[in-house]
Amino acid sequence: MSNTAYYRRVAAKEAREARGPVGPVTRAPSILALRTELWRLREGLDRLDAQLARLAEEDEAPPGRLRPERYYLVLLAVYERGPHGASMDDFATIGSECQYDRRGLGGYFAGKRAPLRSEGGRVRLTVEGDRLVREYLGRSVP
Amino acid sequence: MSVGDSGRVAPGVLVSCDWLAANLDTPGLVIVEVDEQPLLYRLGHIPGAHGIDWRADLQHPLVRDIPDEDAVGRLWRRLGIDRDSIVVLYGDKNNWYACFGYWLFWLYGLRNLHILDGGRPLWLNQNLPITRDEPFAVPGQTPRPRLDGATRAGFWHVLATRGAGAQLIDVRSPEEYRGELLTEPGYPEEAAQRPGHIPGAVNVPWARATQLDGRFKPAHELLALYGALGRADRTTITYCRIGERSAHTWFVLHALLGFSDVRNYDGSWTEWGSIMGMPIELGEQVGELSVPWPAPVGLDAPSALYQPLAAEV
Repeated sequence: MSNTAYYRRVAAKEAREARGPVGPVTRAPSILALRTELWRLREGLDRLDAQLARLAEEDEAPPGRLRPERYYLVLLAVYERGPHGASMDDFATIGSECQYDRRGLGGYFAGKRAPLRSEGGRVRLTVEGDRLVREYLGRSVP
Repeated sequence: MSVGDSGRVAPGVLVSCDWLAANLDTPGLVIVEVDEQPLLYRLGHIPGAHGIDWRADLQHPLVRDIPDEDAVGRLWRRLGIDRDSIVVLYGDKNNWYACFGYWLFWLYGLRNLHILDGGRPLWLNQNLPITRDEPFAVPGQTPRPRLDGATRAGFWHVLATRGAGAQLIDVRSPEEYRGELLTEPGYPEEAAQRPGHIPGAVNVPWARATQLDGRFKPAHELLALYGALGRADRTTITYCRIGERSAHTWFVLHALLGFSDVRNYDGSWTEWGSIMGMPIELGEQVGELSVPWPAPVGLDAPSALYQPLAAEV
């Protein structure tokens, strides 16, 4: 069972127990229920962070879907790691060197045209990522 | 094949980043970067390295073929290669295109050739020095390229392997081998007319010869990977889609594992899968080249075209 399903089941059970057989009973939430709630909040926070990062990139981008240089530098650094890609830790370092925090990097994996994919603990360029690297090189190399 | 103390293939054909970093000023050393993305060179490269463009420098400018002797001679002169040069090639994508350059230079008779183990990715990851300065080569006594076709195969060579005990290695992705993809996503211009593989070919994707850091696997792992395919003393032909990835596997078999007769079929699948009447196998089945000489329906095969391998050597 996935963590999500497990936490949801436990939360439902907690809620049933809290209501009791004869109606709502005021009771202090259990540690597990608090953890469940905290996990939900974190999940929501991560999702919002990724969306925010994506929107911020689009806001910074000039017309024609050009993105800020640091966006391309992350992709270029992954390309330069070779066909086996970057490990997750290595990728976090790449992001940090380009002024992205871990959560902000989530935008690279979102959407149908995501430039990066994670597979077997390695981060690799997608076809779209390869295209963006070529586009960046063609535009910026003297 | 010789194996060093560390269990890796002995230095000689492969040079390490440490060795190259310590020998950048060695007289006669010619360093050549060959990337799939040639513009990378201008972002930064190993000090003293020349950059070449595989499309412009390693292909014939008009027909689908390798460059001729004159073009290769001009390229060597531009790079400052002379009779005593030690040539080290390296590049992106775990030396994919550097190995194609190695194969081409070998084909034209250059012998003091080396590959930087790990290529451009490992050099950068080790934070070794890079520069944007482009070297100026002083032309010396450029050797005259002399084509030695013993490491190249045409489709007629492949057909002639029928019943001859030769080994065919398809180094594309398993999806391409099985016929589920015509070409890898991102390379639409390299698609053939039909998917599948050459009957008799086994599938060993090229990148399996490399480690996560881009270096070639240790000798015993390479032997385990390719030794199971067959014998090192038999003719072995590698192919991919357009002949570059298969040059990487050719390098492993020829230069690292010492197979005695390895050929790169650089026409590869874009040629085979587009010629009328060629036999094709689909799925996981290796298949067998057991049909008569192929010919499109209603036509006679020009039998004079299909000569056995020995006639070409």
